[in-house]
Amino acid sequence: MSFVAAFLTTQTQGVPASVNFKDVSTGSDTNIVSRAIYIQTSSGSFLVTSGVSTQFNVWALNVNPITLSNILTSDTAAIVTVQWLDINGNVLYVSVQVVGYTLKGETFDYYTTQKMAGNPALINDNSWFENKSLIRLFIDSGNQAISFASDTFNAQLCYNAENELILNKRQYFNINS
Amino acid sequence: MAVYSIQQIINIAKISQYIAVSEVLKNGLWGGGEDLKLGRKLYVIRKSIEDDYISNPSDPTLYTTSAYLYALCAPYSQKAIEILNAGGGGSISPITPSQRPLPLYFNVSDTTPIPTGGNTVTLTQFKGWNIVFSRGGITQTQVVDHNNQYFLWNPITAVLFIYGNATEGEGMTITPA
Repeated sequence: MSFVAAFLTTQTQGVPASVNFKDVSTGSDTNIVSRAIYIQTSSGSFLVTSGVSTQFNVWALNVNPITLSNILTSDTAAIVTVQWLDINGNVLYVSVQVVGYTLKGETFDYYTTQKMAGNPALINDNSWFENKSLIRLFIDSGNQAISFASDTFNAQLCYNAENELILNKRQYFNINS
Repeated sequence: MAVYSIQQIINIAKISQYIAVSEVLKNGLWGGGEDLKLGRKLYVIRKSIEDDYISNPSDPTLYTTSAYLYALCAPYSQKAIEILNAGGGGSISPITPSQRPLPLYFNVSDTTPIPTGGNTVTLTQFKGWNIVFSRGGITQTQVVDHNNQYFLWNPITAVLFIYGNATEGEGMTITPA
């Protein structure tokens, strides 16, 4: 059965700085000995785990799934490329996805909902609900930019606006960190 | 003027939304005169129409509400249509809900759209539509929480990915919605 390269990438609740990868390829090719993961941001830089000096993260063949820890500092739009390599490092198969990693924003959005549930009068606070709805809007808009246009630049613009609200939550939501 | 289906208008609104948000963010002070709340208006109204369309696609009021949504997209609708076409979003040729593609019913074999052992298929006839996917008579969910996700449908590329390879004789139904 011929080899069809495919992977899934997700985040785990509570660990927004990390990213998981799962190889869901079908078929087999005995020439494959390793994999490489490239995560390119909208600014062109590559995200790697601490201590890695290359632009890619090595994904050993006997490890599946894999978690790349502490590679995100905020919600990130990225072009993710996984390569399946032979013993000489030649690329045999490639799979590319454009992804929005938004767990940090989603978590904060839900956190504000929890705050509202605990104190329904919050909705009357100055701009509180307006700012909460902006979080939702920015996350959703970034996701649309990715799903319809693979547009990491505009997606990151939206995610950055959302991150700005989170970083300044004391001002926008009267929440002390 | 072309007449767009409700699903197409929803997609146009999704793209117009992120363009509106991005334009305001890029234009600096006062959003350069753009409607500062257009992105949020598009999100809130599109979301309610989309949810109603998913649950009751034959709702006669959708014609009026989606026309209103399309009107709101005006500053960016042409750009959104270009992105839909350029991004592999399929043709924006006028179709109406009455021209909905026929559902697919099959018992998995080596010659079915998803063959025995397979997990993906491209269904170009369903491009631009949501789908309801059932397997063994049980409707599958597409909840993106990484725990309850049983299939992945991209209405833009028309690629369906199912979790768990198809087994010989298994009954599958894919219905455009």
